[in-house]
Amino acid sequence: MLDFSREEKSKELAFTPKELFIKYSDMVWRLALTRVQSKAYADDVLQEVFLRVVKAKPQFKDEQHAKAWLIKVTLNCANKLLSSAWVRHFASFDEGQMPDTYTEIEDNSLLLAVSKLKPKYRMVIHLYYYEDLKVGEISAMLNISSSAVKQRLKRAREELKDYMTGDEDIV
Amino acid sequence: MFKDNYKKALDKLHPEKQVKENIEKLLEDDEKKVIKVTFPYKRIIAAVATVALVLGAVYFGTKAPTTPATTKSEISTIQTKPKKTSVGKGYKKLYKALSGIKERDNYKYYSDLEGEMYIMEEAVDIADDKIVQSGPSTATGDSNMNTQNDLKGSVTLQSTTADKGKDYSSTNLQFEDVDEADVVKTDGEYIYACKNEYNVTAHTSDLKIKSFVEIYRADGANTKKLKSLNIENKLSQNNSCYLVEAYVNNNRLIVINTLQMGENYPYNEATQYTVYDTSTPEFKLIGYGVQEGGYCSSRLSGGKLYIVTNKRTILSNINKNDISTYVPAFYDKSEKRYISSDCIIAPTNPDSSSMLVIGAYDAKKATQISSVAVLGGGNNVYMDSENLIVNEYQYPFFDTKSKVDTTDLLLFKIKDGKIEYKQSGRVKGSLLNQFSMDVYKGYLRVCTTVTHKNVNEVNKGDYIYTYNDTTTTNSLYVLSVDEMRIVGAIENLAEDERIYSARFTGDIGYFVTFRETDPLFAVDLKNPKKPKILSALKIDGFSSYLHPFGDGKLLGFGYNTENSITTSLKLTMFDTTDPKDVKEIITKTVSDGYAYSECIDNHKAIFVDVEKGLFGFYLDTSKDDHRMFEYRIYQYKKDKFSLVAKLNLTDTWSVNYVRGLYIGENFYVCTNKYIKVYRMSDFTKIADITE
Repeated sequence: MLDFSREEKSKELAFTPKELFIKYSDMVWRLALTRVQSKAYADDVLQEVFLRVVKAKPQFKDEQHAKAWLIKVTLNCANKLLSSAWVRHFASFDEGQMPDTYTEIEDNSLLLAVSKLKPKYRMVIHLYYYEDLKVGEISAMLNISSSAVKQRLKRAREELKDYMTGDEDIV
Repeated sequence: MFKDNYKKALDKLHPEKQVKENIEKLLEDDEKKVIKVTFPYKRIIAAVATVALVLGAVYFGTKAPTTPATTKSEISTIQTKPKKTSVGKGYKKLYKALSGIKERDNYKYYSDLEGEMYIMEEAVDIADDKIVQSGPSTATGDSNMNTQNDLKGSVTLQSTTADKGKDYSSTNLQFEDVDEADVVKTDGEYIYACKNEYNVTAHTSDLKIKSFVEIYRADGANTKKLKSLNIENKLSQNNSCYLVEAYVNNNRLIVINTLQMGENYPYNEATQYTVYDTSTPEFKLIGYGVQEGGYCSSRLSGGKLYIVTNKRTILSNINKNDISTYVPAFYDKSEKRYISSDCIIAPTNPDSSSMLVIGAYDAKKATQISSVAVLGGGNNVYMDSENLIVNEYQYPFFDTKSKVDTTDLLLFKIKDGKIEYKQSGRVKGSLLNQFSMDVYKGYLRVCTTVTHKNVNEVNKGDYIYTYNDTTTTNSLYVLSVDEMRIVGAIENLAEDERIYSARFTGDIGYFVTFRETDPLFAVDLKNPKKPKILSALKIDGFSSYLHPFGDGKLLGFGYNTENSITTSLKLTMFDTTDPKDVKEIITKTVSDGYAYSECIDNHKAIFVDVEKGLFGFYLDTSKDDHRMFEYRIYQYKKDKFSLVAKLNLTDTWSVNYVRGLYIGENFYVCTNKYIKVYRMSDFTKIADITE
């Protein structure tokens, strides 16, 4: 006899918030760091994202779904933090003016180069190269068209050409 | 390959182990316990549409009602008079109360500069009836209260004063006769703009903030920067001095700062006021004083300055023989002086270990007149010419028995700089801001959002966990000021909504809440004991600030909403001439997409001149990834909003605030970086003063 209950269960992948945290906290934190460029703010975003997990109790279809949800929420939280009165009034740093986020690691020239990109280019680069998302997925996530994603990737690559070895898969 | 290199480099960075552990602990705790976390950047971004409740005709009979005790049955759900517990005065009582909390201290308290985090470890056993209420029974001299309040009224129109021969605007205030501090002030001759300077790349630990007041001589096209007044931390030159706000009154410039005290994190905070003479060309320093505790709010009334601060007590450090560990202090010219023993109010069974400190100062001479300290914290401060009400929010989530959150209202009487603690009352729910409270004809009206705690159990197959789910309702309470006892109430209004703005204008009270459907209620409060709903009307969006705009008109600033998401900023004018039939006259959408304006959160950021029919605010919006930053001035005339001027602002990243004001024929847009001067007749720019 088929065990329907088990099948039902596997459909709704029940991640507890803690399981999600163990699996994805680094991913969320690095994405947030790329966006907000400050470790302390990235910590804030990390906490806020997982509080939203607790609050919203999302049911995920699979791990891809969970990851996409977390990326989207992280971007939202990071943008919310950056637009908040707190950041604008108390700790506003100009675009491109970097706090010493990356100084502790030795070979930081690549990260610094990425961090000097405009946010819209930086995020596309991060999602494409670090999270291995497809152009279509990025376009859905950032709410922009696929051609805009391609355009941004192209421009970002031009700015990062010193670090490009030429064997990238160009879309 | 770029991809691999990038991954390799970024993988070297991790969140701190401690941070991860803390969050993990939070998530673990959530499955069986309760979490309450507040973030500093938690800002109102509205999600859902609105309901505006207009509480019409709060008309009280001219006769002051006698004892309201007979109404108990009607409002049986409300705790009308809590059980009395004794209240003591003096250091010894304070120490006893604090050590009582220390013993009962079975919850952990974390706090840092960026926010507060409370984690419940075990259930704190405070039943409702154990919570201390009443103050010393010194309720004398209240009989003439009602007649005095009649004179006041509570409608504030933007006051225009013809001082020094020129007409000029003041900060947007709740009451005309009670001044509120702001970042930009003018006395018709000079404009004072506050400014902070800090090293943007420094870490929080070695961040030193310097503060300045920029003084400009306001003279139309010839406006000049006169002086940059450096405000120092008078207690310790090496520590930060963060400029908060300023007042200008009667040839005096009063600057209020937050000071960082001590060298080590977490810093203690203190609040400093500094008084300068504006009649002398060099702006002579008259005097200063420091009051311990983080700045909560302040008011200036009748030449007396009232400063409200919250002093945190570190319970693990308290020592009976060392009063510096638990008694708040003041500094007069660097001389430390503890608050006198008889000015301390300590309930024997208090809720919080922090102290609410209120100091009254003579703004002319910079001397202290009186002070009082009450064990308990403060959130919002309401002050009219004779009452000062501080509310303290009680987190419901610590208390397993309590199903709703509550707010304590502490009433102080004020007369010529003398502060006297009267008593406290308690209502359900939390208050939005100072506009949620109003004293009128001997009654305090309060509107609150009540959070109900529901404990849910979820069966996840392998395990069961419980979590707390909250729902909200909204209430309006009428309390008699004499006894701080609830005499009338409307409860359980607008389920799952939250109050977005409130305003009481004498006989009429309004409040706006939000929901997916959006009715507009009119409530008859003719009988303070029996308020009832008159009518309902639907409007779109919600208003987060309401301003009385002449006779029978109410101006609302707020957001349009679409499918529960805020879309664009809007202005609405309501017709309130007939509270039975409140109408929306006109709505104007002012931005293309999402926009932010400080006026949504802060009433002081709006320039309103009802006589001229003008109002202005700044707008921070973006279009095609391009940030737009402009100051807009609108006119309301013949039932229509018209855009009078759209003033483009520059240097968007370094501007912290924007204020608009006029002096004589000219309109000034002031920021921490620059002032732009426009001719009022046609709004052409005539001067641009940058530092």
